[in-house]
Amino acid sequence: MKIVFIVCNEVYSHRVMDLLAKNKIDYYTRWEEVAGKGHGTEPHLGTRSFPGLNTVLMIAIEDESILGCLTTNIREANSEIVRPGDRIRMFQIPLDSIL
Amino acid sequence: MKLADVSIQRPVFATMMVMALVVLGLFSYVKLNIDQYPDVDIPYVTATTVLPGAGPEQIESDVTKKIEDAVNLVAGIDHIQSISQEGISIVIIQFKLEIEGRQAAQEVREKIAAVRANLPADIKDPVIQRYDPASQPIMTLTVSGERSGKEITTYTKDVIKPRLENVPGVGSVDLVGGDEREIQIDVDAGRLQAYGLSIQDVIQGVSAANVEIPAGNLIQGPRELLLRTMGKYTTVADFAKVVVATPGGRVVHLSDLASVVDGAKERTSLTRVDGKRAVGLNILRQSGSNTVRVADALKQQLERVGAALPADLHIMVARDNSTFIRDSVHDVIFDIIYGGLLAVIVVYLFLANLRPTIISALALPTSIIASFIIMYALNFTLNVMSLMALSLAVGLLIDDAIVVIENIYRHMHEGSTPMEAAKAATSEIGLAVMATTFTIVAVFVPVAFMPGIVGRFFYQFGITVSVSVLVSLFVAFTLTPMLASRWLRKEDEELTNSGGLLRRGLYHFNHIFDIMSRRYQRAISWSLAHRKTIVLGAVVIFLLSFFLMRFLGSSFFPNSDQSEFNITVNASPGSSLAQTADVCARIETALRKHPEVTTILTTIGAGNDPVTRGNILVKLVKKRERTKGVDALMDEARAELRKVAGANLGFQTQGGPGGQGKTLIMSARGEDMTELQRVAGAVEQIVRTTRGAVDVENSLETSKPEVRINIDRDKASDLGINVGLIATTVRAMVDGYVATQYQEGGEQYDVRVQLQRNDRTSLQDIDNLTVKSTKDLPAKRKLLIPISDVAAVSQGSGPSKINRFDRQREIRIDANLSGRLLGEVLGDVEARTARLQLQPGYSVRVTGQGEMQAESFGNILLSLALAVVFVYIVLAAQFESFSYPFAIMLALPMSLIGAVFALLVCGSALSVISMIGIIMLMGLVTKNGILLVDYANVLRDRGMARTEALVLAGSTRLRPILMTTFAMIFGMLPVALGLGEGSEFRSPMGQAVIGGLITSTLLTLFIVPVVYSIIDDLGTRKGGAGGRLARLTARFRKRRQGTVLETVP
Repeated sequence: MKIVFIVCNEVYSHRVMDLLAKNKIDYYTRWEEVAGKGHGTEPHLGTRSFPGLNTVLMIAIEDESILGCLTTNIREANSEIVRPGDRIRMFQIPLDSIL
Repeated sequence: MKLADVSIQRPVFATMMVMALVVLGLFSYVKLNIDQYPDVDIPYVTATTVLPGAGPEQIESDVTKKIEDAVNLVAGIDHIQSISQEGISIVIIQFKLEIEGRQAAQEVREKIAAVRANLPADIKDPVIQRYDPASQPIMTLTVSGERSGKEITTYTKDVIKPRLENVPGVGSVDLVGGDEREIQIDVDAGRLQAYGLSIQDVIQGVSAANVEIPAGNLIQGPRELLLRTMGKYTTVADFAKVVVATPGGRVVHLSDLASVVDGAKERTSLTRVDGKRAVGLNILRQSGSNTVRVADALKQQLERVGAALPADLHIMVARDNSTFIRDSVHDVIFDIIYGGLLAVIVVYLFLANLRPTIISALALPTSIIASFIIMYALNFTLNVMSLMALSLAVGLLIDDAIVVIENIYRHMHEGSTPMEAAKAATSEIGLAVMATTFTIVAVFVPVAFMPGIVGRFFYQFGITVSVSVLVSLFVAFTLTPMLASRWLRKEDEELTNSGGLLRRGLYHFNHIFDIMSRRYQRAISWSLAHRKTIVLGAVVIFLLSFFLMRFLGSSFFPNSDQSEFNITVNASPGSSLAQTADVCARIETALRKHPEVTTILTTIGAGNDPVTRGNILVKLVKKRERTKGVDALMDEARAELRKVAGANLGFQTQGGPGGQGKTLIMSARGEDMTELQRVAGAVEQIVRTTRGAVDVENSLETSKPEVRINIDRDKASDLGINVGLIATTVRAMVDGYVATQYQEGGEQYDVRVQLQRNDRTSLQDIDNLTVKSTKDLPAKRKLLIPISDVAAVSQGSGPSKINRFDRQREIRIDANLSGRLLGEVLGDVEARTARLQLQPGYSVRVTGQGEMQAESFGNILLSLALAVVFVYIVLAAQFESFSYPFAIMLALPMSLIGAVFALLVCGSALSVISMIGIIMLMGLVTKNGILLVDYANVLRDRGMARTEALVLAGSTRLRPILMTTFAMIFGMLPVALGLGEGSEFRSPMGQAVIGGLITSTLLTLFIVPVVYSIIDDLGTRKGGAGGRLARLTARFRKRRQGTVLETVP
């Protein structure tokens, strides 16, 4: 059982949502227009100098097979994104329980 | 950028927003009226009063002055002008622009009605009309046919003219050159004396014998019958049977004294089309009415009149001003289309791809069509000015979209997806695009709200440009990013040296551009290392532009070639209609030798003009069908016709917004006519001897020869006659008196009693005229006194007309110009008139176009200053900096040299039009600086060093800067080339803008980075105003950035 954080440029939000739908994940928490800077990437601060913002999704996944499929799909999506800095980031953290 | 993000996320919504604008715009377009210029008509009200037989001085004192005093109390009057000439007083009241003409006319009517009792009893009721009698007819019709002139005139006067007068917007319809039917009773003076009768007896006899008075009702039992005395003449022959008097019981019939002629009124006017006589109808429009709309309504009315026209009569439209207006409006529309296409081609050359080209090109029609909504809402018309605004803006409208799409493209080139690139690029460039648009608006708002007639003229221009660029900004933030995010493809950007000729050409063009871009990087680095040289060079260039400006002439508005010109003919004073017609015929013959001449329309004595004044309208083939311009043809005609004796000729083109008088008008004012004549003579001499002034004319005119009857009052009184009786009798004998009306077929005709022509030709005839005394002779016969017994008849001369301006006598000296411009000639004339010794109460002033030019240039310079201040305000607010706007605004002076140089090369003058072009430049040339400084700031915010940021910003923004500049230049090229009808009027603006754009673009690419770095340095130093300003700005900027950075996780 894992909790997954997906952080991506807001323009890829739809693509990520499509991937969730593809894997029948209809449960998530989403933060939109989030500012931030990734390791080795350009800042996305929503300013004129650093335009663009991020979207963050938090998903608790109990079924490891679904998680596996999602990870594969995100890797495939990232392979189509030219700039490394724009690739979709996925952070996995162990989850003890869900109430 | 919220608007762009919403549009990208909701493409249908964005499309529908733009669609709504387009639909509303198209709807508005079809409802827009066409006109030549915006409604800049000054409200004129003209009071025309006829006092038959009175001389100019009598008219002035008895009628004109009284009417002037009465109307002077009406609110909102700007000037009162008047013309007192033989038998007629014309008072022209010019109201301030904001006054409503209809209301003003009503007030004038009331004021004149109040003093009607103080005016001479025998005046005809003053006619109050809302038009400027000096304006040219908008349409001239001629009526001809296989009938006698009298019959044609009667039909024209009674049927056609009243129906045309009813058309809304028509100010007046003047019948020129007809033969009006009149029953003339030509009295034999000898017989009159032999019978011991006076002309008054004849008048009385003729009028008393032509009555029809209702006599009440006759009641016959249950019936009631109307009783009438049938005393009206039923045939012209009836007049001969009238019993005039029965002296000594002997019956004297009219046939014993006079001959009765069913003739025509003495001709006082003439119309001739291509040498053939016709009955003419000059149609003048009311002040403020739309020429095209009035002309259309007239044509509709003509169709109805034509349907009922007898088969043997023909109506021809000899002059129709609406044709040129339509042609010129259509030509401006073509300028817009050609300009737009050229701008799109420029974009395609740079982007080398159809998709982004189409996306940016869509901004063009959308912005133009959407502008029609505001034009319709603000009651604008499709006129030369509003359309010129669109034709000049056509290169601007695509700019915002170009900058956005170019940035999107660049982001895609760096690896972003179209969606990501659209969002990021629009956000990144948003401020710069907004700043460029708002500076244009900031420049045009002061132009639109300039005071005076020029302000009125440019109001539609300024508002139309502002609205269209604001719409283009909206499109650039909605439709452009939305379409780019959906329609652009990654693979679209690839351009290789393969494929067809076009693809390879585009590849090489862009390859050369890339090389240029790299060289430019090195050039900026060099400039930043040689800042003093660059600054010194900029100062020298700026000073050079002022030096060059000295070689530019100045005029109020550029002359436009309307494929026609007018020749005003002032025949020698005292000339008869036949003599004036003969002079005109000689001119017509000379003109017909020119193959460019298509139609010659001559009118003599039109409106209130005397028979000595004629007007020849010379219509030419269209501009594109001839090699000579209208000015050259006019100069040729002037040289050829110099030999025509017996007339003073004036050559001029159709009036533009500067009015329809001559170009140079000097006004001498004062009260005493002798002194005023001396002053005017001196001014006339100055104007005549000034190079460039031609067709010089003195409004006083050489005095008309006159015969004066100086009455010995004592003798007259002793013989039982008074001055009034002498005057009315003489007038009746010579000028004639309309004793009654003859009715035939429902129409009434004047019956004029006067001496037969043979008895009123020589001075001796005047001496022999007799006046009937009130004293009785034996057998109750009245004594007939010859004029020579009570008066001395002498010859003299008097002014043929007296002009007044603002209730002061005025003599105008006017002239046309040839080979020199108004500013130059006026400068020479003013310098010399200033040295004239004038008595107190006398003045010499510049009026007409010269006065308007001085006033307008002042207003334009004020607008220029305001525009610069507004540009600073907008830039400072946008960039959140007090100092960086200075770096951007340094492009402004750099544009001046190009504008001046372009005008010099094209042979154009500094006019209101070209000066507005220079103001327009103030808004356009800041764009390059904005794009450069904006990106340099972004790069520095991202942590780059100043020099690197400036070099990179320069090379990155070179492409959009050149794309937008070339798009603007090519967009305006059709206007600047001036190929269409009336294009000379608008081309100087295009020339000034293109010249200014070229120099400012070339120079700002080097100067702006240098000045940016200098301002930045000043900010880092201590002390000094510049340093304090820059530090203040830097502190603001830091605080702003700090707030954002604190949110970074």
